[in-house]
Amino acid sequence: MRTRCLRAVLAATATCAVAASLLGCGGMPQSAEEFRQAVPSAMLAKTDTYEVNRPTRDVAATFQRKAPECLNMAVRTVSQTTTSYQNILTEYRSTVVAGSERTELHLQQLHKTGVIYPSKPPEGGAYIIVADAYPLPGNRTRMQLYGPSIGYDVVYRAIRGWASGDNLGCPDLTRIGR
Amino acid sequence: MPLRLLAVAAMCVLAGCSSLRPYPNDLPVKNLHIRAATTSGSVFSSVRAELDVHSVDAACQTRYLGTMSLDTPDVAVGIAADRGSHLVFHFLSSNFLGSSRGRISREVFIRPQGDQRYEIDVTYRDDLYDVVVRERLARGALREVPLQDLRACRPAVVLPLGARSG
Repeated sequence: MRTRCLRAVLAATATCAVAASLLGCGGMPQSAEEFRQAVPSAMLAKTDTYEVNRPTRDVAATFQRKAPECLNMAVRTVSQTTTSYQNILTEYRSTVVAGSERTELHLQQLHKTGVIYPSKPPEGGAYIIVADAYPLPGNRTRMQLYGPSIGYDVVYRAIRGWASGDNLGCPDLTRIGR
Repeated sequence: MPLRLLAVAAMCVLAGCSSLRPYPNDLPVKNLHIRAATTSGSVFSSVRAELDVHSVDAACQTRYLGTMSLDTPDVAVGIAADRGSHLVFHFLSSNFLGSSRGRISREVFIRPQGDQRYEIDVTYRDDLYDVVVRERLARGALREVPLQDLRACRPAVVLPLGARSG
């Protein structure tokens, strides 16, 4: 149980930890490109790559349909123990950019209550996940992801399901950090 | 006075003071057939699904009609035909001993015609949820209906009396 609590605390603060470690010399990343460049050397952040057996235009179409439907929302999470009580309101905003070389899915997160940012987040919130889809020969697609290494597994799984077309479910954003 | 307040508070607790009320589901035609499957995937947490039913008038104003639990796998629901309804599917999760709770929702705006029937699959598995609405066509075929939220509602245009000449 203690381990689970520790994981929850770590995950709940992943955003801030990633944000803080991304600060570097220039402050919090203000664009998806700055986020991509900062993640590889950031604490509690990771990159991931995999391939799916679908053409990138289909992946892009799924992102354009599912991202606004599943990711653009406000979520309130309430957690309490015998010694603490947390009530956090978080807004999520997604952006899909379909280009000739790749299709990008950006997820931004803005804690409206319960979290103090080390510096001013960009418009729409801190970049938390960036997923790029690159076309491969044979109607396949290579996915390249950037984001936190803990706490966001549910979002990564949803993006993988959308990319592969195997699962079009939405991630329960209240489970982030659990 | 404190005693009176205490009594009111006690009655509230006993009555389960809440703005939620059961959806009467008393229309003779059940035009929605809802299949719900929810699992948290962990013995330390649980998930359940609920449906809020709101009527939508010609001005796109909603009125809460009630809530149905989707605890059973198959639920037949009757909603008004030939007018809009706003269905809100809630997935309510809580972990061990209720120390953490979450609620995530999916909204559906629907305007069934008199003889239309819908099959709705509501799923929550491995922290991923989905609501899929299919219309039952003639000869039993099913056609998936793109989900729309309340923004799809268009208020009926009422022409002023003077504009009806001719």
